[in-house]
Amino acid sequence: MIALAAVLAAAVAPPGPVDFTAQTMRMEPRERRTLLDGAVRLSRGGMVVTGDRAVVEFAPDEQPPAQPQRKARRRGRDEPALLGQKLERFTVDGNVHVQRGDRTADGAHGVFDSKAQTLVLTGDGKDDPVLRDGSETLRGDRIVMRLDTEDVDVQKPRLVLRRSVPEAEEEPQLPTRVEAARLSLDRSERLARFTDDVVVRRGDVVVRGPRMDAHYDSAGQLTHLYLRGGVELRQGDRRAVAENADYDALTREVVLTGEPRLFDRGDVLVGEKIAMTLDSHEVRVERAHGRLRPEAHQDEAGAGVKR
Amino acid sequence: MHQVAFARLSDGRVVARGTARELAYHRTTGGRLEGQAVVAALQPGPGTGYAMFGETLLTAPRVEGDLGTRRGAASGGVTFRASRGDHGTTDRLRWDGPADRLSGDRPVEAQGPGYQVRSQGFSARADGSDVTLTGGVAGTLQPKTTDEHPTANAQPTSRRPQAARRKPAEPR
Repeated sequence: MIALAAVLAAAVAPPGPVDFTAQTMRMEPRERRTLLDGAVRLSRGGMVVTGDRAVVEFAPDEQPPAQPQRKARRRGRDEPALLGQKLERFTVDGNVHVQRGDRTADGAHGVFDSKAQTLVLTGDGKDDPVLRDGSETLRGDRIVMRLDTEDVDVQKPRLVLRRSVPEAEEEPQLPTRVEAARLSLDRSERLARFTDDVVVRRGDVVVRGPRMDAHYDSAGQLTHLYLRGGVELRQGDRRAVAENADYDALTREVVLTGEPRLFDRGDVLVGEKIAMTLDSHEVRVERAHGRLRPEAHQDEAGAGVKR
Repeated sequence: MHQVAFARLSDGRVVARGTARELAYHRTTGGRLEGQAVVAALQPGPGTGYAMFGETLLTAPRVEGDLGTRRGAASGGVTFRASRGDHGTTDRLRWDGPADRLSGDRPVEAQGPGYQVRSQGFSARADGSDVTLTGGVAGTLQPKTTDEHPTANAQPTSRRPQAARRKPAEPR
């Protein structure tokens, strides 16, 4: 994920011709399509798409708006096309691989839409499409790569956020996993925006919320996660709710604001701000007030709550 | 025969016409034809796979055909040039009348509005309803862009290039 939103070396694919190679090329004018088969390779700008086979569909030769005095000749979908028409879309199937700068993607099925300026990758129902950038790997139901920018939209993304700072040797390497209904990568803003049913997991910590922005620095390192719109954090028996949650990747601390409340085995703490350090599980509550049941915590040692 | 002109009629209209510098007809061998420096202008029928080309000029230094078996070949560098602006070349091609197919086993190069393509051979139905380039294909296709307006299309589909408008020479 680190480099997904920021360190993308490839140039934006300019509008231009699509170069192709294949073993055979079968043109079917009446269907207005051309079939490429065997070791298909399509390239445009800095993007290369390979696959087992592809279908190229051509745009109709539409006439300009009809002039009242002249009877327009009918052209379009009904007229056969044998090349010479503008490419409208190509669909690549079978071991689809996309290379664009340092970014690669794989899927079972890819659709390039020249009007929408998108390349949509999907899986085969068994394996999801995968987007890779450096060491980062992102999976999802559907990956939409924008060709006029370097933005990417992902439906039902599933990815692991890499640690932005090295952890101590003796500490376990806990990956931070994120799931959501949708992810949009905005390279120019160095932003990954997750929306709808966002779930962040790290070890036994689970954070849920309707939306989350992940921010990156110029080197592609994750710096902050901002969850908004009502957040719930769970860790073992602890549960906290708030309007917002901010995660600082450097300190690995989550700060809850917006009427935060902490529920812990019958304790209820309300404060102006609740901060939790993920590594130590230490919790700090500022301007706390609430109801405590000390007898419920007699078996606890180490991690605790500071007020 | 020398300086020959010919025409082919179908359903009352001329679908092909052309000239040959020399044409030999061997009746004793079952209707064998041999032509030299053949130029033919084809008028693809509406609705066929080649219709969008418009009138298409074919040239071949040598043409052989067998009227009995309805098979033939053109060789020595076959070219085509279409009204739409397409043009291409291959060293030789074969026509198989009973199979209703054209084919070639030599490199093919073709280009036209928004595309260029080359391959090591081809096979096609005579009516153009499918054309397959074989033996490894490479080329370029021009995508349609979002803001493209049909009137801004730099590749007119109805304008005929000068070369294709020229009529074959009249018979002497």
